[in-house]
Amino acid sequence: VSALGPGKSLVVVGASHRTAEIAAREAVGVPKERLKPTLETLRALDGVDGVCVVSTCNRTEVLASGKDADVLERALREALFAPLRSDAVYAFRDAEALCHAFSVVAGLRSMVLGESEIQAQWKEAARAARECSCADAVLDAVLQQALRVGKRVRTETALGNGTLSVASASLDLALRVLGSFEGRSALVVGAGETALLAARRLRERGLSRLTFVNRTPERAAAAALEFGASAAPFETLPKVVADHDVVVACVEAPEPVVDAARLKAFEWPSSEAPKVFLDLSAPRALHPSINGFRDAYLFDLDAVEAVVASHREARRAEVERADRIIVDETAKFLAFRTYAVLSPAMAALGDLFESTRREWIDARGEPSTPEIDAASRDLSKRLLAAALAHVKDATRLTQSRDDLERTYRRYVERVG
Amino acid sequence: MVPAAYAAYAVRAASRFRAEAPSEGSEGRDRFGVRVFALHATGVVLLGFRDGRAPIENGAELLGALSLAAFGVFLFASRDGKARALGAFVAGFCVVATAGAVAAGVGGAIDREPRGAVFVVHATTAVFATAVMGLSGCAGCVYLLLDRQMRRRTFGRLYRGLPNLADLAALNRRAAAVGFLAMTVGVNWGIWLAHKDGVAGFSYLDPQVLASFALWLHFGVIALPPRVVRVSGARAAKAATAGLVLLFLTLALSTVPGLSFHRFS
Repeated sequence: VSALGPGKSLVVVGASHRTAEIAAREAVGVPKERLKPTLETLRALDGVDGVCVVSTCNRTEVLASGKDADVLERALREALFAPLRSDAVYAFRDAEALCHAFSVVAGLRSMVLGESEIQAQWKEAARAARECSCADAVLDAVLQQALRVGKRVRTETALGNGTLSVASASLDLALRVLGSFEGRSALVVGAGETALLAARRLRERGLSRLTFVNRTPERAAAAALEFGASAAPFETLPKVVADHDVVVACVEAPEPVVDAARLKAFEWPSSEAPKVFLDLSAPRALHPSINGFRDAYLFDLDAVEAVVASHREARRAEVERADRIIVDETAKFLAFRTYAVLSPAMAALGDLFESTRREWIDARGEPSTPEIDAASRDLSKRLLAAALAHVKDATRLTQSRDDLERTYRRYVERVG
Repeated sequence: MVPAAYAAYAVRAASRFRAEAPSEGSEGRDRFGVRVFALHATGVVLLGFRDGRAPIENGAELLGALSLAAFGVFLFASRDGKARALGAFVAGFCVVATAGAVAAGVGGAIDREPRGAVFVVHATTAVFATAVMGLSGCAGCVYLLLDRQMRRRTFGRLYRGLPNLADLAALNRRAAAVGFLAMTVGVNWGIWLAHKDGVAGFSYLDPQVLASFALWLHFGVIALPPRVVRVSGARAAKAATAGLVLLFLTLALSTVPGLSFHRFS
């Protein structure tokens, strides 16, 4: 018997940043304009009662409800995830599928732990499924409950506060010194992937002036063009450092490209404002002697990692709290589904008891007295209550709280 | 009641250091702080009405007034929420100062004629200047604390709870500038008052007068633009911390009998 009731299964099939490279995710991504036709195609598959597609830059997932989990999973894999290797695609069923859906919306499976964008993306996906009449009662309840769980996790835990990525953490360090990037200038040493990512983050946070320096001037010029920045020759590096508030180094160099002696040669420090040096290179591109300057703050990858680790440590308790909320909400949801499934059966049983009672009174062949009527009603109610209690116990046995916790732990082990 | 209110505020402000992660977004108005300030201010006003004089005539009353001014200045400086973490330090000082004032006895009859409004102007501007300079010193101390945390790569709860270095540096300099201006008024008003009333023992070489001048110059230098004096960042923070020590010394000089004509008695 499925956790969602007899004859009802929930399946999640998907690929995410944890299982598939970006090129593979792009191959199965469903852009907004293709979302509704895709939903209709999937809804038309054999055995699919309800379907919803969540497609973001980090994951593409299909949630589907139907009678047979095997049929559902096979159909979804073939319809949407055929281009991917089988190990790049994951699938969860019933209680595990619920745990997965709830933890995805809570941000526990996101690249940046606790990010909240997924909540809005999930909401959008649920709306699209509803507009196409692709969400049956079970799936609609799951989609709504997932949003409630995401909201509860963000309200009751500090999971979404702060950031965890290395680029963001390094810029957070700079912000703890400078307060804001508005009106500030930054020098990015390098023009590789990390340098461009740092430049993007700096621009997003309101940095005013950006300069690129690279050994290959053409690459510096190209990066400068992309970000509306300027480029300076590599030979002038110590001199241009003095003109910027933030220096981000992302280069591969056998020895440091900037050190205290070279900066002193250009009469730095001369400015009244503190400077932040972020060394995201390995081996280090900025010499530790820079930290000896009075108002200079040098943070290398070790320092950034220390911040990230401190955030991670601070969030460990929050993740555990979020896990408990998810198990709690899954239990609540399944209990609600049990009542929903049992209600018609219990109503029918009540009707049967009442008709049997009347038949018994009629079969006695003499007029009923108020005492007999009351006693027979009482007996019928007691029998119904006893039957309900037995059924509830039996349901609880099939999916107890302990079972759910075990299921959740198994799920967490699977997703890593 | 007032020390208890400050203690409650200090505990509440310190709780931000227990948070696992910093709160995001604007923090809104500090309603609790405003209520604590209003409670203290109301108490001072009621005391003044009851005694028929400005409650700033003795050392205990000055201590209370200093707490009120320090907390008021802090509330104003942290109205945008950036420097609210300093509340734990400022309210902590206010707890000690108001408890000391209550223990020493505020209000009641004094054994001389109450001084007039001219004296009150001198006293209030001097108290205000002292409070603002104290805030500058407090910002300097916290700056050095955060600077040390960052250089030692200790990114714990204290690091996450404190304001950033730029905000602390700005608060340090602005408070020093306001304190310098207020003290310019307070000191000159006091000198004029001493000459007018022929205050016995007044001298420009009096230890407390000299200490006040030193304090005035010290915070004046911190307030100057960095391009002029090259005192900024950690150097300004160290100067403000030294100024805070000088401030306490200046106040202490007034409590030593026979050392200065300027005694809070």
